[in-house]
Amino acid sequence: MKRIKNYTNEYSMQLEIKNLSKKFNKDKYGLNDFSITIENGILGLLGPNGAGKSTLMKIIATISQPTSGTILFDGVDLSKDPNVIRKILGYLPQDFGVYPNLNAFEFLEYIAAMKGVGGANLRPRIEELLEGVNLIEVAKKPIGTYSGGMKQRIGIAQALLNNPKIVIFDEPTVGLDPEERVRFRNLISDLANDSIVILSSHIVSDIETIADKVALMKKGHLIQHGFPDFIIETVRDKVFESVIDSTALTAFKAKFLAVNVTRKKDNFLVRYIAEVPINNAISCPASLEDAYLYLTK
Amino acid sequence: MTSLKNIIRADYLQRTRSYAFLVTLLASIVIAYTFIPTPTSSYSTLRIGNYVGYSNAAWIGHNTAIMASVFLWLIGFYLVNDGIKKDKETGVGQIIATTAISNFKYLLAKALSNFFVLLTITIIIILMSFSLVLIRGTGYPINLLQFILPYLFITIPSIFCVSALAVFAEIILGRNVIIQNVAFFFLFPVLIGILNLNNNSKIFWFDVLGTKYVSDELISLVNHQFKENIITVSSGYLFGNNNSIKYFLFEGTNWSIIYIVSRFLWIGIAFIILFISAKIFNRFDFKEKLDIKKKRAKKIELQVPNNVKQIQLSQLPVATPTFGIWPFVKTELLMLIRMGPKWFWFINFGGFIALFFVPINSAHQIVLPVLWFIQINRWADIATKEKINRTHYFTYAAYQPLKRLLTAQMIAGVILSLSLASPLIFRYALNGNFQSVYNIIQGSIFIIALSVFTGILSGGKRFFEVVFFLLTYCNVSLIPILDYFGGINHGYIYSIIIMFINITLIIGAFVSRYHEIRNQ
Repeated sequence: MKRIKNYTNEYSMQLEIKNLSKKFNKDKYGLNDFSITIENGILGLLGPNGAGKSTLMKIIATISQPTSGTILFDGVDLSKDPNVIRKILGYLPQDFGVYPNLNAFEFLEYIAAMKGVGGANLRPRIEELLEGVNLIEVAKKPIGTYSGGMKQRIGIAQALLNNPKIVIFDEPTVGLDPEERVRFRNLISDLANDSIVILSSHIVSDIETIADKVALMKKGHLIQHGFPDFIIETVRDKVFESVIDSTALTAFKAKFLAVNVTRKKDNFLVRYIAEVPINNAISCPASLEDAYLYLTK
Repeated sequence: MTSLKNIIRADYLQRTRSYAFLVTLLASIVIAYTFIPTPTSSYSTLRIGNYVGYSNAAWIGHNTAIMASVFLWLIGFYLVNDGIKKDKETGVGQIIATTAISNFKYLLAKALSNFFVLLTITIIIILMSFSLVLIRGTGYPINLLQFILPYLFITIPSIFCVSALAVFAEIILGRNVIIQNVAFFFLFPVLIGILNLNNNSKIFWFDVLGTKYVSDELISLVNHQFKENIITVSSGYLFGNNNSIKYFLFEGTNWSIIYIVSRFLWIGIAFIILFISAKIFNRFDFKEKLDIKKKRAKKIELQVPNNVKQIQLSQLPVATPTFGIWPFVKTELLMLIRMGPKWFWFINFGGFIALFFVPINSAHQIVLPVLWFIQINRWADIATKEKINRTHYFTYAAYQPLKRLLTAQMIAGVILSLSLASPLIFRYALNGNFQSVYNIIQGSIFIIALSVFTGILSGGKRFFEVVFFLLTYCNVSLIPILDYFGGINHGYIYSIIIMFINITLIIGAFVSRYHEIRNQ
C-alpha cells in the first residue's frame, strides 16, 4: 500500500540528491556527480550558462531522467515513483509556452486538472491567484494575445495552483518589470515558510536578497553550497576599486578579475578581485556577485 | 550566389536532420518497392488496357518516374509547406526581415530547399527502382538512358513545381494551414483529371505532372502493336483483372523537343509563381498586412497599479484533490473545436448535413472521409501541441500524465470525430446496419490513434498529415486495402483486423509517450 503523507505546515521535508549525473553524449555532461541535501526554505541556484541548473531542476521536477544517481524525497526514490512529488510540485520552467486559444481561467483549470486539484474552491483560488498576479482584468481574453511578462505571470500563477510543497522556479523574473520583481520576491518569501523552494536566476541580487542558501554550479558540478554569507566569505578582503587609465585597462583586466567597469571621463573606475591590489586601491565590502564571479571564473 | 547556397544548405539540413525525415525516407523505400509489383502480385501500377510492359530498365524507369511524379505531388506539398512558417514560429523570420536579402532570393532559397528535400526522396526512389531492375529485370539489356530520362523529364520538373507551389501557398494562406491543406486536397484531383482528358494530343502542355505525353506514347505503341483501340492509361495501385494481363516489350519513349520545352516551361511557371509570391510576401510583418486579424493579434499590456492585491498563500481557498480525467476531456475538446477559423465550421456543418441527405454509399465512401480529412489540423494537433506550444514541461510533470492526460486527449478526439460522423451513424442505426456503425466507430478511433502515435513518434504533425492525406485520397479512390472505416469492406474479418490495428496503435502511442516523458 502506498504511503500517503499529509504535508502540514509543521512538517519538514527533505530532498536528498545523491551522485546525480546526466550525460547528454559521450563527452558532455549536464550534471556530473552532483550531490546536495535540500530542506525547507529557499535554495538559490547560481551558475553560468551550461552549469546544469535547468537540467537539475528538470530532473527534480521528474520531466527528465538522470543517467545515474538518485533523488530521494523523504526517502522515496523519485525515479521509481515520480507521482509522489508531482502532487505537491509547483514548477515554472524557463522556456514554457501556453495554449494560445485558451483564456487564463481555462488554462489554469486545465493545469489544475493535471495537478489533480479541483472542487468548489478551485475557481475562487484561480481568481485570487489571477488578482495576485494582476491578470484578473484580462482573464477572459485568449492567452495568445498576452505580452511576454503577462505569460510569465500566468506561469507563476499555475505553479501555485495546488498549494505546492516543492516549488521550482527556473529564471522566474525574466520579463517582469521592477515592481513585479519585488512582488514576486515577497511571494517567494511567503512560500518558503513551509515549502522547499528552488530558484535559479541570472540576477545575483535577486538570489542574494531572498535565498536562505545558495548552491553555486559550474559545468555540472556543485562548487559551493551554503548560506550566502559563507559563500561571500571566499572573497572577503579581496574586493577593491581603483581608477585605471583607459590605455591601461586591457592590461589590467588581463591581470585581475574585473567584476565591474564604470566609465569616468578619460578613466575607468574598476571593481576587481585580487589577493594583492594595486597602489591606492579602495577596499570594498564583498557581495554575492563578487563571490559568484570569482568562483565561476 | 554563395549566400543563396548557404541559405539553401542550412534550410535543407534543418529539415532533413530529423527523425521524421528519416521515417519518410524509409517509407519512401517501401513505397518505391511497391511501384513495381511482382508477376504474382494482386495489383499493377501502370496499365494500358490489359497490357503491361516487361520489367526491363525502360519500363521500370518510366513506371517509377510516373509513380514518383504523382506520389511526390501528392505528399510533397505536405512535406515541404512549412519552411516559412518555421521561420516565423522560431523568430528567425524577424532576423531575416532585417537583412539585405531580397524577397525573391529568400523565397527562391525556400523553394530550392523544398526541391532538394523532394529530390532526396526521388534519389531514394531511383536507387530502389534500379535495384528492382537488377532483381526483377527480364533479361533485356539495361538501357540506362531510358531508365533515367523519365526521371529527368517527368519527375524533376514536377517536384520543382510543387516546391514553388508550397512556397506560394505559404505566402497567400500562411495563417490558414487548414485552408492550405484542404485547397491542395481538392486541387490534386483537378490535376489528375487533366491527365484523363484524352481528346487533345497537345494536352501535355497543361500537365504539370508530366505524365500525359508518356501515357499517349504507351497507348500508341500498344494500339499499333496489338491492333487495339485503347484510349486511357491507368496508373496508381490498380487491383483486380490481373489474370488477364498481357505483356508487351517497351523500349523507351521518343522524347520530342516540344515535350521537353513544355517541361522547361513548367519550370519557368514555377519561377513566375515565386516572383509573384515575392511581390506579395510581407517579410514576416503579419500584423501590418492582415487587418482583419489586427484586433485579435494586438498584444495586451497592463500597467501594474500600486494597489495590486498581494497573494497570501495561507489565505487562498484550498482546492481539493481530484484525479479524474473529465476536466481534461472538456478542455481538450474545447481546444480542438477552437482550432482554425470560426467560419470553417460552416463547411463542417455543410458536410454534417450532407451526411444526412447524400445517398448512404456516397456519404460513407466520399463525404465522411473528406469531412474527417478537412479536420486534419485538429487531429494532428492532439498529441503534438505540448511540444509545439512548449507546454510539455507542465504536462509531463503532471500527476499520472500517461494514464490521465493521454487518455483524455484520445477520448476528446474520438468524441469530435464521432460527432462529425453522427448523422451517418444515425442512418445506419435506423437501417439496423450495426456492422457499419461499428466500422465507423473503429474508423474514428483509427484516425485518433494514428495521429497520436505518429505525432509522438515523429515529434511533429507532418508525418501524420502526409499519411492521412494519402489514406484519404486512396479511400475516395475506393482502394479497398486502405479502407479504415468500412466504406468498401464490410466483412467481420476486416472489422477485426481494424480493431487489432487500433489496439496496436493505441499501445504504440502509450509506449512512445511513456518513453518521451522519461527521456526529456
